[in-house]
Amino acid sequence: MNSDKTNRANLPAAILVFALLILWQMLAMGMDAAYILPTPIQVLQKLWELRGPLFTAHLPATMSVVAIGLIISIVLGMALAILMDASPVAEKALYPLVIASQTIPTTALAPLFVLWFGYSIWSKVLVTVLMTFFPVTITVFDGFRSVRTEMKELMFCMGADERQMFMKLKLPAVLPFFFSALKMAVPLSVIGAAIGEWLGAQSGLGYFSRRMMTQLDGAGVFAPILLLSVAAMLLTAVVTFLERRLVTWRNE
Amino acid sequence: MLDFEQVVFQYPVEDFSIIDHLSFHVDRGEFVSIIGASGCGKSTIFRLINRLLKPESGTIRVAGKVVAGQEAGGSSYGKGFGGKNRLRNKAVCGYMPQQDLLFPWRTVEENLCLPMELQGGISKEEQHRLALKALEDVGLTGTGDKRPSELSGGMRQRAAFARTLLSGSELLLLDEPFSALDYLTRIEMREWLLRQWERERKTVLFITHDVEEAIFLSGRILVAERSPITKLTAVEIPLELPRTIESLGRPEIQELKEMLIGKLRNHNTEQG
Repeated sequence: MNSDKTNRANLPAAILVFALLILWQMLAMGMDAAYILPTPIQVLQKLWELRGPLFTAHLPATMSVVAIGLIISIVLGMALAILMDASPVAEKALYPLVIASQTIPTTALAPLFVLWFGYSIWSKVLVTVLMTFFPVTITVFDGFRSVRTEMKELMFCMGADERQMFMKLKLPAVLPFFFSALKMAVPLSVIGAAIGEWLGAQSGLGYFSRRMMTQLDGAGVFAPILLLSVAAMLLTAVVTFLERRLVTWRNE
Repeated sequence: MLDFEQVVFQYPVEDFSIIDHLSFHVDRGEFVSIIGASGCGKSTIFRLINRLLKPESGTIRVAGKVVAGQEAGGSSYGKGFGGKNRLRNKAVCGYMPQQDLLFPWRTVEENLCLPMELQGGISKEEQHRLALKALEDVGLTGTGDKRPSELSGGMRQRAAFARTLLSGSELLLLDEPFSALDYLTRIEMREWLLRQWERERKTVLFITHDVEEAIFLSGRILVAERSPITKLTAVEIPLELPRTIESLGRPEIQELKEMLIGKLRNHNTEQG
């Protein structure tokens, strides 16, 4: 019943996507220059043709960057948020730095990372982390801030020590914020990984897309990007699923 | 059960002491209400007992133990808590705030278990048993597995009261617990609370701005006639138990009510 409702709610979006795809198809057929603008059908055909290397080599390479980058970002972001919440001094010292880190043009710096780490996975992970840890830190920190003072006071009056205050009040209260952060972080991490690979790699969907570019293969550029988008959507869906299972009180 | 001795407290942003050399005493098993105009410092008294605020001077004792003052040990909220002062925090009383503050991520039963979890030393089975018993006592049998959001306002306050009881403290501080409820529910909850008190016979300190509510519930009313609070005027309520809504209609009670309202109004006109 519930999924029925969701399906109906998604219907307008589905119709729009379909219409846009048809528009794209007609536009591309009219232009008839597949190296600039391939048709959606050509992209799908390419994806099928290249399924071997794409799914066995490049997708796993990108996904391992995404996974490692996400894990580091979550751990780092949570640690920073907890630290800033626990100590006003840490907040004053770190908060401006965290904000400032977002003014770094990561894409411009990324070639430097390649110099530091070579073509190893770590240059790509660094790009991913730089793009992803920020929303995690800020959103989780906001979550800690939003814990109601009255609840903290009640916990204190009931005799809670600091560890209990954290485990039994702050952590559960911050869970909805954590999932919001994850939903932002997941697509960003996929983008970060792709950018990292675009700038210097030996495998990965970003790298593959760039190689197709040099060969003027329009459909070949789009095929890995399509795969990236689908991967990001699937990951976000997994996060949403987990959120529904774990955060049952969101709207209260 | 509760003693204030020459307690002085001043908020940093104000240039006068809102509690000024206040002394009063509450006996074990009493039901005492504090009434006073809003903003006069009633809630400050609670926050001092709860150690959320620290008095500048004077001593507060709960059951003979100093909770605030020169010889007080343990942690206090704010600066000490989270700072150098790492002594184990320990509850000194059961506190029921205006809002129920049930945690939405816990079921009703888990909410009731919270004070016991914090104290430690009580097994899961024992917690479960005590929580079920408390739910039964407050008339919420069978709601243990529900979320707080599934309960009505009155039921939530009952659950919050059960949680307060399960703190195991002999002294209960109730800070306008029914002020957020609609009128009919409030009247019902008053009668309910009085029955609970008759059964438990814990010492209750009750804050309200509703004179009728105070008369109905208390054995004794402490009136904060002026702000800053330098003394609380005690007024005995000549009503036997059990009380009903009709007892409030008696002429002497009406007189008492008008007298109390008069006291509170005096305060207001003096200020204005």
